[in-house]
Amino acid sequence: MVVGYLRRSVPAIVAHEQPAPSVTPVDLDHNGTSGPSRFLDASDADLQVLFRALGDGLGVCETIVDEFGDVVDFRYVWVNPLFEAFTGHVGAAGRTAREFTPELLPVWVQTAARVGLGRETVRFEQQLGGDARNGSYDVLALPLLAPGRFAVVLKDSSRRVAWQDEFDDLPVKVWLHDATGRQQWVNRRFCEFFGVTLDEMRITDWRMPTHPDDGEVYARDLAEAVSDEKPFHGLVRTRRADGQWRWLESWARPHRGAGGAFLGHLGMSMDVTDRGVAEETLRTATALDGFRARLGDAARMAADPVEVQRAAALLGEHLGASRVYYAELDESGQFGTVQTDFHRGVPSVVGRHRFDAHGAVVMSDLRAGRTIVVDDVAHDERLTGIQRSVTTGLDVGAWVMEPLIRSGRTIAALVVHHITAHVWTDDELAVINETMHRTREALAQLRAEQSLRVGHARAEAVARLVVELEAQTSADAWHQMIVEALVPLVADYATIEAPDQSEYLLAATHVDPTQLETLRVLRLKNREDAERQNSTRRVAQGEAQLLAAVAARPVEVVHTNESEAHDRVSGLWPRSSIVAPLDLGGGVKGVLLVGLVDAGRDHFTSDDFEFVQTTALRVGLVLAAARLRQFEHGIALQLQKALLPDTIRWHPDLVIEARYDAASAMLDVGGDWYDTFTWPDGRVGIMVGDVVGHNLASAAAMGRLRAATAALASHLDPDPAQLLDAVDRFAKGPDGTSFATAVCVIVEPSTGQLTYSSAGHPPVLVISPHGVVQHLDGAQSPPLCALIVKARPRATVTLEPGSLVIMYSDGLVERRRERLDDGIARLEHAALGCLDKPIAEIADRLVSDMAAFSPPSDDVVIACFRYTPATAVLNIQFPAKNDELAPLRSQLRVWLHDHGIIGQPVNDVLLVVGEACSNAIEHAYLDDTNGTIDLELANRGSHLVARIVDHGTWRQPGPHNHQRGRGTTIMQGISTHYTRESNTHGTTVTMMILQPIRTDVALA
Amino acid sequence: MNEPLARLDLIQQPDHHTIATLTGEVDLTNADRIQRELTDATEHTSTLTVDLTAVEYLDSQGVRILQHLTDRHRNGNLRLTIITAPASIAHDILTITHIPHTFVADLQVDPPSTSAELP
Repeated sequence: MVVGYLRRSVPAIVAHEQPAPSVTPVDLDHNGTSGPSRFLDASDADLQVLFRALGDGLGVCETIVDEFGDVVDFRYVWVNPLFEAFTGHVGAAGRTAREFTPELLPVWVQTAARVGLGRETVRFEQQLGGDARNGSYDVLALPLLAPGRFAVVLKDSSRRVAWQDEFDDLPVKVWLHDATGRQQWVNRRFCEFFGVTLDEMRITDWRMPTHPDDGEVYARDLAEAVSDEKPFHGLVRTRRADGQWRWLESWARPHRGAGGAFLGHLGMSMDVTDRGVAEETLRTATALDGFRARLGDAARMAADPVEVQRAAALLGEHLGASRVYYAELDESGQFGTVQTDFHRGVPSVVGRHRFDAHGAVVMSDLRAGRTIVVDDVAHDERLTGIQRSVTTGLDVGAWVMEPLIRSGRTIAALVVHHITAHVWTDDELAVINETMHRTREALAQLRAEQSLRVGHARAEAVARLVVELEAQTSADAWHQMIVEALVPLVADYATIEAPDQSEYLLAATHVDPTQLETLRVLRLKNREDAERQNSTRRVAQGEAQLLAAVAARPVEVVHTNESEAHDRVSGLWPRSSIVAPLDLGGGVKGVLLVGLVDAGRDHFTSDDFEFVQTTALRVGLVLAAARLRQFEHGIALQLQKALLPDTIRWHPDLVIEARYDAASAMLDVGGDWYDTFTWPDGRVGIMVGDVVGHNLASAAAMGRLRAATAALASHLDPDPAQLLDAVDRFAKGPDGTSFATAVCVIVEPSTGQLTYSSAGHPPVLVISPHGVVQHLDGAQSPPLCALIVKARPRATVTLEPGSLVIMYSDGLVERRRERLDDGIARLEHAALGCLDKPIAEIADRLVSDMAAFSPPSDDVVIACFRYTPATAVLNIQFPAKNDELAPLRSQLRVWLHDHGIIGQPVNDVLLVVGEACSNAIEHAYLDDTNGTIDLELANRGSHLVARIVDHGTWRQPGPHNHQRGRGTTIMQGISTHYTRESNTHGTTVTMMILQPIRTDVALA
Repeated sequence: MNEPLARLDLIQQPDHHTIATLTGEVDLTNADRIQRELTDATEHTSTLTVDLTAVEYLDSQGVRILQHLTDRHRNGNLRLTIITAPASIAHDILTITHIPHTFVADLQVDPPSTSAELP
């Protein structure tokens, strides 16, 4: 029983009471055992007299709690007559409030709890029914010492009733709070505004519904005013009875009772929403002049997107809009492209938009040239649910679209967004309209300039494409170049297709490389559809197609079940495409297809359509010409190869390799040559030359020149300058050529002396085994046929064993827009990268490496050799007998091992020497048992050379011929070079075995 | 030359399977003899495995022997497996002369299991 109040009886404040010497908790139960005598007994008679005489009602009460400790009622312990009079509760002492008023107002129960148990002091104003006047009273309730007990003072405030009534009729909302800030009383306007009655307000402990954005600040300010007992002013959005948010501005002053006691705040509130709009309008009007001035400036300069954007930003700031942008409508009026936008607090919407998605009905108005105004996207009747959610999804609560009309058609719109619902005022709409018209001219100019720029870029691209096509010889390369020239300049992807060929898709490219494979699959699938294939075929026959908007059904068209493919396809699906006929040459009719997928691009226009058709036509002509040249090139190449030497001289000391390449370059066959010569004293000559001119005639001239040089060489001294002079004389003759460059080197193998002379030819490179590069740039003289040259100079260098010598025509190193030195440096670099490779591999790699950097535009000749004098020689002579073979192999193994030769070369040498000797034993000395065989094995660094000489007479093919043939097969298969020379004195077999070039010999 | 240049070891397995292991060097001097021995010993053999992994030298003379065996195999009279060591002369020469169905065993692993038998 007692537990109930003890639990709550933690008095924080005992208001204004004198500290009592001792406090004895009072037993308290429902029956109220503590009688009035305990509060005021006989000895307090004076006080009783005093209280009775008091002009205010005074009652001492104690709370009654139920078994849960909740206050349910209170008992009058003691009351004075005025209290009885005011409340109408006559003879109240000892009785409970509920006995008088069964429907006890919650305000009383709460007051009893707050004061009796919560130990608060509470003041409020209350209408009381006891008094005949049904007056209004200031109520003061304060806790007494004994827990659960409190005093109530009632002060007649009937004098104020009059002005309270007057408040009811005031056109403002008037309210009265108690000292704790609780709503105590409000006038009728207030009740009407919020749609509550005064009683409901009191019973339900009503609080004003405020907007979360500003309610907190308002409540905090008010609480501060209450605790400080200070005047209050605040502005807050509240929800009116009709659900609308309205701005309320409130002013309140402390309301004091008798003796200056703070009773709460008396306040007044006004709905200032409309005034807010009015003020805004006023502000707008003042700002408008400034805005117009700035806009004028911006529009005058609006020759580029930045300035047009500035106008949009100005308008956006002026209107407090979330977005402002210009959207250009395509020809269908369905899609708008936003190049740039002003946006504040919301994402940009730059890109391409289907306008109907935001309201098909209103957009038709726009297309008809009318301004669209949407105040509240969420509730606009003209929009469907989906259109609303699409639009609000872009953070648009309200918007305006102002059309720009040209030739009776809406070609663009100025769009203004508001993040929330917003009632557009006439002033705002006027500003938007004005902005549109002021920037219209600037926009038009901008469009014209952009289109001009695009036109220029496209023309340049086609010109470039035509030039590049002419430099290529492969049809695949042509096709790929064409599609790549169009993406991304004109389209997002492009393909070339031949509807009637087995190889259907000739080239494809996509702006997004990850989509390329999907594009291929899609285009190939297209072929399975007969109707589509027919359509493509019709285009190939000359009927171009423009599909300006094919956006609708992305997945349906693709017959695939792979969900991943679906995803990819939906991103790939064209929004617009152009298919134009393309003559692929050789009677093959194809199509050039270009398409757009990127939402940020305009659909193809008729201009694009014309451009693609024209391009396809021009490219078709180039392709036809190129095919013809390719045919000629094939013939010229064959001729050229026929005119070049079949074999080049092999010399054990100078392993020479030469290459001729014109396959990668369109045309330009014809001028280059190489040749080798030997002299009886062992010297070897190598010449590389280049006849200017690239056609069959120059190829023929080269052939004559080379043949003449070969014929002349053997009659001349082994001197490069003399050799060049002889060539020059021939070239100037009646069968000569117009102009040529050449370089000639002559090497003395026994000493490594290299003598050279150059007639206007790029320098020969010499690279030592340690990687030191030397340019043979001395001994220069004018090109052949150029001038009368009395004596060409010569120069000599000495080759280090293992040195690599590289001779070449300028086609190897010369590239467009590059200095010759850069090409030569690249050649050096390429050579240094393969110094340790066999010479044949070096020749191949130099050609391919140089072409890989950039395809040569000229034909290419390269002749290179390595100077490889013997570093060790084994000479053995042995009887031509079977039994000698095994000891010979043993001897070879030892010698090879002693010279550090291991692995594969050992096997190779044993086999080729074994075969050659077996042949000699079996076939050379059939009838002679005293014959001998001479073996010479030389180590030459990069290779070994074995020479096997017999002195017998080889018999004619007999029953064992097949066997001998197999031995030769083995020797040729294993050696890199194999020669067999027979004469009446015997037979010499020479074989070269490659061995890895040891790194200490090769590039350091 | 007391020591023979090459040696031929023949192991008769059940089911007319013969394993012929050649050791040493095969050249002009001994090829005919080895071919005779091998032909005689395998006349009734239906399955022959020739192990050349221990051969140190073998030239076109030796190829003749093996060619003879592959002819028998091609005629359907012999199931033949030839095993050579990698990077050996025997391996090189069989590769270069395209002796059909020559299988090279990697001796680092397990010779019989990695050699494939002719069907």
